[in-house]
Amino acid sequence: MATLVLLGGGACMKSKITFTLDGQTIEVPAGSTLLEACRQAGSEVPTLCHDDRLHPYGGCRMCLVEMEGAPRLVPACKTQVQADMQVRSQSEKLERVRTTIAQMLLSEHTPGNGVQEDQLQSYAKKNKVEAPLRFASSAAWEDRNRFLGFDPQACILCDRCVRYCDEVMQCSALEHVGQGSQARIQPTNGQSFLDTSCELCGGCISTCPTGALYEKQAVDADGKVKARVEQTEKTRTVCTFCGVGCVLDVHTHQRQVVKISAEAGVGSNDGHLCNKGRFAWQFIHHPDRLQQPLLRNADGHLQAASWEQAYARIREGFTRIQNQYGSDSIGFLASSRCTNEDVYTLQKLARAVIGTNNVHSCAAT
Amino acid sequence: MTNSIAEIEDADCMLVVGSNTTEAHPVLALRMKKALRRGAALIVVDPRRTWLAERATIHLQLRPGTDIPLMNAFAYVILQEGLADFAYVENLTENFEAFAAAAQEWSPERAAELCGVDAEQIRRAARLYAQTEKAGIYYTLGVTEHVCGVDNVRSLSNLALLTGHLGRSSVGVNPLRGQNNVQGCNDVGNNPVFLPGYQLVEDEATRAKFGQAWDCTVPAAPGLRLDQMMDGMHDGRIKAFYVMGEDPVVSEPHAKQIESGFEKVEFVVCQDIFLNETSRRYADVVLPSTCFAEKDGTFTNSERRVQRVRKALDPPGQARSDLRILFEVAQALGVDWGEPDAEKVWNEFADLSPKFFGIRYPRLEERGLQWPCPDSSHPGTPFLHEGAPLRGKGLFYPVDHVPAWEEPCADYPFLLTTGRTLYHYNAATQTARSDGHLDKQARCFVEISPDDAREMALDSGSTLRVESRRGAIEVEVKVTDAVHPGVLWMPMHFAEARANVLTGDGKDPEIGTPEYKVTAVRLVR
Amino acid sequence: MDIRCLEGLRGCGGAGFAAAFKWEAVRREAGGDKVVICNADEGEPGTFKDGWLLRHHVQTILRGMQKAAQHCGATRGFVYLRPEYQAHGGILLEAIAALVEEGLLSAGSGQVYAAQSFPGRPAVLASSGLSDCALASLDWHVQHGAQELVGQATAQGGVELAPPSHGYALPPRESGPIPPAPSSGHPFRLDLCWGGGAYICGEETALLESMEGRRPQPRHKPPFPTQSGLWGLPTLINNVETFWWAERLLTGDCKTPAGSHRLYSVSGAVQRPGVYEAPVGLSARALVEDFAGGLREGAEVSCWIPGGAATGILPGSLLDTPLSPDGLSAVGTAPGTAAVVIYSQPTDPRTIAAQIMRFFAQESCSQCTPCRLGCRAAAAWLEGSEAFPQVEVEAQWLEAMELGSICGLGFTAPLVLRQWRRWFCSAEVPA
Repeated sequence: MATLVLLGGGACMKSKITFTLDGQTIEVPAGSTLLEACRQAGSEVPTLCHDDRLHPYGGCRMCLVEMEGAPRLVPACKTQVQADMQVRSQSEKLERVRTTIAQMLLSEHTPGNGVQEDQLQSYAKKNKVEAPLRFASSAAWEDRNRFLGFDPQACILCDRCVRYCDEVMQCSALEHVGQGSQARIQPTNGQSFLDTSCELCGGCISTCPTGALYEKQAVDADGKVKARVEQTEKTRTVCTFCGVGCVLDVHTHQRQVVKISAEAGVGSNDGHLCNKGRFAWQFIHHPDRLQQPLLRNADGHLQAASWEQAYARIREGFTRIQNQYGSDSIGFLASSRCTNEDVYTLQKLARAVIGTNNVHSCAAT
Repeated sequence: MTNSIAEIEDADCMLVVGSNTTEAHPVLALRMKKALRRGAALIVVDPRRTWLAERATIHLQLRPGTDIPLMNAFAYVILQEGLADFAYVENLTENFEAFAAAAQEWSPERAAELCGVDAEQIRRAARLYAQTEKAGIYYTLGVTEHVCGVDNVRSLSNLALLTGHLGRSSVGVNPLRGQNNVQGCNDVGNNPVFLPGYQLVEDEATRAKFGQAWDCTVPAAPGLRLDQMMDGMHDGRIKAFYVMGEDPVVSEPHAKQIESGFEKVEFVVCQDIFLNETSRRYADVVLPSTCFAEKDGTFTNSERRVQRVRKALDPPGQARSDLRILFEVAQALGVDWGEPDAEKVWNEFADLSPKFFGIRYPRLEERGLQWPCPDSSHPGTPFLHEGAPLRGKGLFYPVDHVPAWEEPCADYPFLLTTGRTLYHYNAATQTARSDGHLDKQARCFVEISPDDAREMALDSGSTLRVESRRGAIEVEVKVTDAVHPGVLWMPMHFAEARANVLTGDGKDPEIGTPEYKVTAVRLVR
Repeated sequence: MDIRCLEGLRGCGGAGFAAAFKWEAVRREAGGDKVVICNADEGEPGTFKDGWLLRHHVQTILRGMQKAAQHCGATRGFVYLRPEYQAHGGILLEAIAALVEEGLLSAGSGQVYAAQSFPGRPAVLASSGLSDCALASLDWHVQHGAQELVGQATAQGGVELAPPSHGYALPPRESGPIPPAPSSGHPFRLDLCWGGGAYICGEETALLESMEGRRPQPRHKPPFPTQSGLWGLPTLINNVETFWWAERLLTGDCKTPAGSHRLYSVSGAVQRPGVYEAPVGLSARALVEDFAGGLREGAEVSCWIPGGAATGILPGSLLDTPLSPDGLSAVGTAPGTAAVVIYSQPTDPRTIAAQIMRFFAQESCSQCTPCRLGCRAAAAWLEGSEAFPQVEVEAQWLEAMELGSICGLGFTAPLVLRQWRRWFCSAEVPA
């Protein structure tokens, strides 16, 4: 979408610069980072602390590359391409350093509960890296909120959640406290998310690379995960909680919603959601949901009925009213939350079948 | 919206009027936050000190219902100081003189007195908006839900025309839609005067076109608007209702009046996913339907982007998709439309609607399409009015102050205004069924200024009775300097404290939008 | 101003960068808003010469800063002071007031600010009764500097925490003219900023972050502070001693050539621990015997530190190594902060190496993986923790720290382990 807007806005094309990557001359837009350039060139550079929606951090060091003239390796995510740079993104040395850093992270990391993808584990599996030692685990985190689960043992201190909350939401509901072995991520002041400026948007979950932050609603009351992320079926659709139209993915398993997520780079929301869009889906499976037609009986009570009975009653009701008072005595109201197709069909029902233009909805903005 | 959501982050000046964006449109507000962090200027016009207002370059904390004098004063300053885009005005607008004359009536000093803001702040804000090249206006229900809602919007579009702030990326006039498919509802003809695709009912050729497509005679008489239908229950014009996914008893103003109206209606069909107040009390037939996750179709968002809605689940029990129900109702009434299929329905709509003709399901897969999109090769329209206003020349409307339908008085001295919160949505039928949301916000509350609270010896957490001429509710007090003395604010979400028990009969005479934003009330301890 | 006399003067804060080069780099930057910062966050274990200078030669240092400001075109200056140096704060403010009086500094100088620390870490540790020397000793740091021990110590009533030093957070960059100082004609406002209290705050970019109110995590370079420092302005950051030398060189008070002498902090098992000005290239043995009164009675050297903890430990057999860049480079280390610490038998060199590494592990800002976890592993290896067996990955881990850390803490920390392996247990070096 960004591209569309750029072109539509008539913004001038950015200037290009060339540099050498792994022996090839590469042309990239000015201002690109080495990471972007590597991606463009098809060179796979791993990263854990980077999210395109956040300022580069350069903390995890998985994306280190060799740059001619630099005394040490440089992080691709944090380094801007300069003309005529000489860069190597793949080498034996880099392989060794990346493996080592993955080893380090694996040594302090315990895989999370599987509600979220774990990019560190995926990298380890793919590249056959194992933890050579084990640091003491961090203390568990209990929080009485029902949406955001946090497992500090799966955290690798990439700061993505803290930076997301600070840069994107500007809520600062998470903080990186302490140093060295005492360093940890915690909800600000060590309080429950319910008691801080946290807005429960769950953006921290969406950016967490290891599943240390996860959707609590995907876990049963007894702590059992309803479905691991790879077990769920994903359906891409659109949120109904305001007019922004965030694109989201409904994850289902055995005909139940497990969680809702959004993918960065997709839709006008770019992977962001609010607390309603991400978490307010309990209503879908709520016992109050209407499951069969109801008809009001002679005593004035609503009573379960079959669809045939319901349609018969509607035919009888509308025919009588039409005959007695005319078509224009019937009004049609549609919620502004129904689909275009539903609403189109409703107004067609009014105009073509009943014969009235009395169609409207609460659609003032 | 004349612009796209993604363009907001590139704006250099944002004029946000009557919109608590971070709570009502949290994800869109992220773009504003990004612009803010980049250093963009922000002017907030709102009776409450919202999150954005706290960070605004200028916050004009006006008295609810005084938007037009304020915007006219903006225009006054812009004209007086020669900050208008005279070339734009000259070439691309009409009716400037009449508008200028109306604006001349409102010096910042005069407006300041009525609006309760500082005249110098009005001047600064007007200059900031006029002198920033990339300046956009964003507004919501704080502008429209007034007796003069339409004129309020006109006062904003006047400003955009006057400064030539229209028709460019990040530059335009942007209503932020409150519900996910407000835009689409209008687009597909759910309107008493428009057939689908904004084609007028009164046009005979149009009626003939639709009549042929639908194999019927489209009635020529314009229908009744929502508010007229509500009134129609009392005067006998309306005898039956088909209500799809609405709860008018809760969501319409002056609830008692609505309830007594429904008592008189003879036949009501409600189609919904939950039993609501309207269906529980008045429906003759209740049809169980589907929520968004259980159906296929499209929504059209605020930026006119048509996006695909896809079915993830089967509906519970015997519930059926809304589309299937409507097809079956038509069949019950003797018309066979064949098999219900969302894509076929969309195609029928697009075939009949030139602005939407190029939008088809296969093209929506990736990122949707923004209308107008007249043909299959058209890329969609990220922002409107490029080069010139769509109608050729932008029309200035001279507008003047319209007093609220009900002003505070000795008996009802407080001005109550209403809105949304971050944790709930509309009548909260969905969010109130989410324990995690109730954890953050379980109850209704009314915001009152520290001065008023002191005078009435009220503390946060105490309970209070709020009375209007039409009804009363009990509600928890929240003392905050976010509102000025004399002004109260409460959310509209809570069934046990329905703000619409209090609201009145004021509405915009042109389109019937109720005045939810101004109600005179008194407080009883 | 002719600064050719500074040729040869190397920064005295540890990294040893050419001072004149920095001065010129900042001077060449465009724009009138530039900053000069005196790094007085003397935290390198074993080092206390800056504290001594501030006590005894504070005016010389401030005059040096003023000259730097005038040369570079800087209008704002700060002394970033280690918060444990409570007593020095008053000395500095008095000196600033005197220079305002004299007309060398702009009116309004002498504001007091406080930098950000790591959340969860006390901003300042009480230094009551401790000499600069005692404050700087490695033991003291390890026992009191590391935050996890601070909490325990306070719980036991051991160390009393002083209030976070009377200053407000530095406000965002203020605009508005600084009045010219009457006698120099150059506008230069000099203020005091209490440091964040962590070891890493001495790293110049972490120092800047803490001044700007964020976690003191070092920045990625480039850009260097000379290009984009405090508030993004070109910023000259020099050590206390560097400004002292510069002032004396520029006024001709210093009779020795630039860079030929340094101030040595000598401590440990010597007769007279203290700060000594000595020629660069003297051996540690000469320094101890000719300046510090010789070894303590009966002491036998077990190991020694040539230039602060980050330079690692050397065996007694190398006491004759010249303390020059070349001399120390030949034995795999560097002059650092010129802090010589002598340990005597029966102190086990491994204990010292482990203490240093534990200190680094605790003081790591935790931003980058290699430093945060590498130091932690190296400390455990040196401590010989049974629960944490020596592993064959050591070589790769140290390499990753050296090549992949963000700042000097991470990429010099492996030196301690390497030095220990090289000089004390060569037989144990893994393949």
